[in-house]
Amino acid sequence: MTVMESIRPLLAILCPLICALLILLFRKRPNVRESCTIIASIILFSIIISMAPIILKGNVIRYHLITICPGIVFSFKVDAFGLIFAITSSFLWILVSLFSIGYMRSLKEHAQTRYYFMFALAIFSAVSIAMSENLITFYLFFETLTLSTYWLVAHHEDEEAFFGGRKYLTYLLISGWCLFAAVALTYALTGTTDFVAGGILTTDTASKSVLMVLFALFALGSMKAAWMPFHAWLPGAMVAPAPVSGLLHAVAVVKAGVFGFVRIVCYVYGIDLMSALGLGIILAVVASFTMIVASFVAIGQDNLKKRLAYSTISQLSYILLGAALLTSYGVTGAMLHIPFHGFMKITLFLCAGIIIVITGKTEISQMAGIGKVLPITMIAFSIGAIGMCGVPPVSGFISKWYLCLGTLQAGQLVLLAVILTSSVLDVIYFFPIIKTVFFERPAQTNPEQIVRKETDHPLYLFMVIPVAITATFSIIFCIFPNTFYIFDLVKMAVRNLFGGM
Amino acid sequence: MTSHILLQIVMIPAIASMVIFLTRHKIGEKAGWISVISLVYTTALICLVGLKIYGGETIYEKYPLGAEVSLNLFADGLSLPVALIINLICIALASYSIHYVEHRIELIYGEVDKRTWRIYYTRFFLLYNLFSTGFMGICFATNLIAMYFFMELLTVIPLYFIMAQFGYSDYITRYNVALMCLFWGVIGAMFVLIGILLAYTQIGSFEIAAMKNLAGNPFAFWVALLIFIGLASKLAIVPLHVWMPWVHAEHPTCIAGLLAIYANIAVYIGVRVLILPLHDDIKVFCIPIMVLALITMIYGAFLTLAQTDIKRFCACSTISQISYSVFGIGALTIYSIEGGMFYFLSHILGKAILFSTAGIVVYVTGIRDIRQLGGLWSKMPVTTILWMSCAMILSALPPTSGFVGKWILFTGAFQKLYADPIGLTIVIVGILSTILTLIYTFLTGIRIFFGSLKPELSSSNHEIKDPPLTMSLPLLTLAAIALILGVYPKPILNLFHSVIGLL
Repeated sequence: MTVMESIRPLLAILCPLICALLILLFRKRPNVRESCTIIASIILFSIIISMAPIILKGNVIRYHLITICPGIVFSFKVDAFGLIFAITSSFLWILVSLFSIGYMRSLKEHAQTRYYFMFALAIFSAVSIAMSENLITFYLFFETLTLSTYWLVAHHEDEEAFFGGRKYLTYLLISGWCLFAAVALTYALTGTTDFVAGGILTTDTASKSVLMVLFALFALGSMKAAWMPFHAWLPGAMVAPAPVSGLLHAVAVVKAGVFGFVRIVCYVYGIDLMSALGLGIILAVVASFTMIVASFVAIGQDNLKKRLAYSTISQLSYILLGAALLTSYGVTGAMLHIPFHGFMKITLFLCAGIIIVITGKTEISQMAGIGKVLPITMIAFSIGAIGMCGVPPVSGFISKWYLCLGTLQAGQLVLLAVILTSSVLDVIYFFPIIKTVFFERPAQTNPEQIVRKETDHPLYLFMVIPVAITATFSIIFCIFPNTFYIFDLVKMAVRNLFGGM
Repeated sequence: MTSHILLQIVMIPAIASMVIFLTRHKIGEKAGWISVISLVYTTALICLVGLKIYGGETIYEKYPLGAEVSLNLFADGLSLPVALIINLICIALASYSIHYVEHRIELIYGEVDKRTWRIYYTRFFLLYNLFSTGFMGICFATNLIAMYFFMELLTVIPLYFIMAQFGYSDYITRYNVALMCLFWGVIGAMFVLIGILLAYTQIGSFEIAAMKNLAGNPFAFWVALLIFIGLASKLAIVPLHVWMPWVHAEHPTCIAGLLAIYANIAVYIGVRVLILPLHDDIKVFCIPIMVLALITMIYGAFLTLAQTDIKRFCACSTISQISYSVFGIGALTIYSIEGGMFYFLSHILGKAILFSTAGIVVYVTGIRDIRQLGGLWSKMPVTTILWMSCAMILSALPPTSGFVGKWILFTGAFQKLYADPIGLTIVIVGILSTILTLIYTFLTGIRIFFGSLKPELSSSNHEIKDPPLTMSLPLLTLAAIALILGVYPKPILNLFHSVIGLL
């Protein structure tokens, strides 16, 4: 593996940062402001995808930013796993930006400049997290991500929004502090905070109990991954506008959480140490618990966004479970599930957004028959929902397939059963929605009421087209998993971790 | 200019204060500027010394006063950064005071004739300059008796008199609180003195450099205990914290920042007098100090959260913040001591800004109750920025100096204590408790500056706007320094390391 010094990572993070400044600058001219976002997102994606061929040749791109004092080194390193997350978040930024234009303008939301500004900052943080070389850089951008998304969660500025925002901050700031403690302890133990495939901690570093405590701190620090019982912030954050929920769930926040968790498991602790300490089993138990319980809770939710939120909590634990299996197939499944789940979940959330904008409905029980009014949206929704359950030909199938292989490889039939049960539960809470929207007759409606369709207004197209694209990609990823080099990158990352598949 | 450079640094402010006193009727309102100029001069000298010390030299000047007592001055990598930052804060607050004291005199004494006004006004600055002398003396003194003298000088002259004459509340309360402060200060220093005398019976010298002869001596424990008790009362460690909120609330805000230094400089004394020479003997104090510091951190933070008076708020936050430094030096590793010292610098920078910003709010609105404030953002943007930046410094968010301090401090603490289950718990709880700072600084900031403008504020006859530049500019400079230290802390860390690294 050769290390290349390159300025590309810096360019990549500067792109959303400059975009954020331009947004502030053009706050009086909405059209220019939104064009900035779109152009920046396209540039960002091109920069990031341009790194993929270099990485696939077996290189690592590194950029050293600044050394402040021993231990506080801000530097970026792009490896295969980081690039997967970066590609996902940068590509989805393009689509979410388009969607935001439609959503925010249709609803005539206030403080749109702040919204786009914080959105750009959130993407900036997410991309930086993806490319961090060490824990301290990772920690810094974890915090900026929390702070920038707070404003998005509390966007409506009413009592409910502030309550959700406060809950969000309380959980995530405490989590940030735990992460800080963990990073400081890691540095005190090893004298480095770099991510290294195979881990920087060993059994000689410290006694077993210290390593266990450290892992607990890291786990608490990854509350962004919404593992139970530290998940309550996520449904609380559903007060945010729909594209923000999409961002939180599919792109930035929770994905940063699971990304960080996988980083910690594979690149700080390392597979060998994890199994030597028996931490894999503990993590697997927590993840399984979350998967099953969150699915059950999801069944009981009538609010569409809340149901999707619990579905996210359950799906994130698939990723944790995959990492906890500590086998090559399991990690493959985990890494694949990050982009694939991102695409499917964002489809679902954006659909929920469209339903709110066009029909104003938030509860599933009110949605009888809206499939006739919003055919494209609801078809996209169905694709996402089917993918969540792991049914081909949607990409969720591939990641679940690898996860199942991983459980077999680890010889954990119980965990296989957990995955399958959870998938059945996914079917139980998703299929009734599909049935309601397509096959149930709407309740007696007032004939005076104007029924709007999704093609009625040009702004609606800004919402419908991104949804159609993400849904299409969810299918494309199943048939061609190597779109955007994702499958090759995963193979590469796993090869680095396990030495050949 | 460079001969007797350290003596100049210590004495010039005192001489300037004499000058102000002698010419008080002529200079009148220019007294503030004389004070600023003298401090700028000494700061320039400190920078010169700094360049030499950075080159690897140390500076030692001998001024014997008698057989055992001397005014020898010594500058090395530990004392210099402390002196530099303290002097910078002194300049900033002197400049800030120029307008603020006018406002205080008007409030306390009402309309007075020009002559009386000048006497009051110059009195403030002649007392103010003695702060700098006291701090510089503590930083550079090599003799324990001289150090004790400077500690007492600070307590007796500037603190007591400024509080008694320019403080808040009515005449009686003001003097009562000033007396209480004096009492606590003197008793604390007394314990230190007893410790020093006890050490003298064993080593026969008052020089700090001779303290290391005490190592291994069974009396070292008792000496350290006495000095620690004395310092703990200065540092407001629970249960010796009682004086702090009173004193801080009573002080004119322009010197409250210096009060934080007055309390926190005991950390420097502890490192200089005890930890560096007697490192091995005081290991027994490690866990007790850290536990006390931890209790103080948490207690102080909750106390702060409960305050409604903006000045008491700042005071209680000092109690909690000082304990971070104490926590660091208590862990007794090279890293944690350096971190504790760095955090000390960061804290006094942040606290000077916090107090002064609170002072600006009181100065402009005339209201001290946080509950009656709100929505000042639109009227006072610069003040809001100041508050938010000091909130960042105090809650140790990157890229401010606080983050670097916190990082070094806690990694150092972990290095020492990770193997010990109790120690590990203490450090982890310590880190988690720092989140309380974040909560109280930002929460209060949001209450004061955001939301809707309170009707009391918009209807009051004061005009609400940002203060004059002589008040805000020095504070912005301090914020910039904290930012620079956060991004480029290397010079100061290297200087610290040149001394503490020898452990």
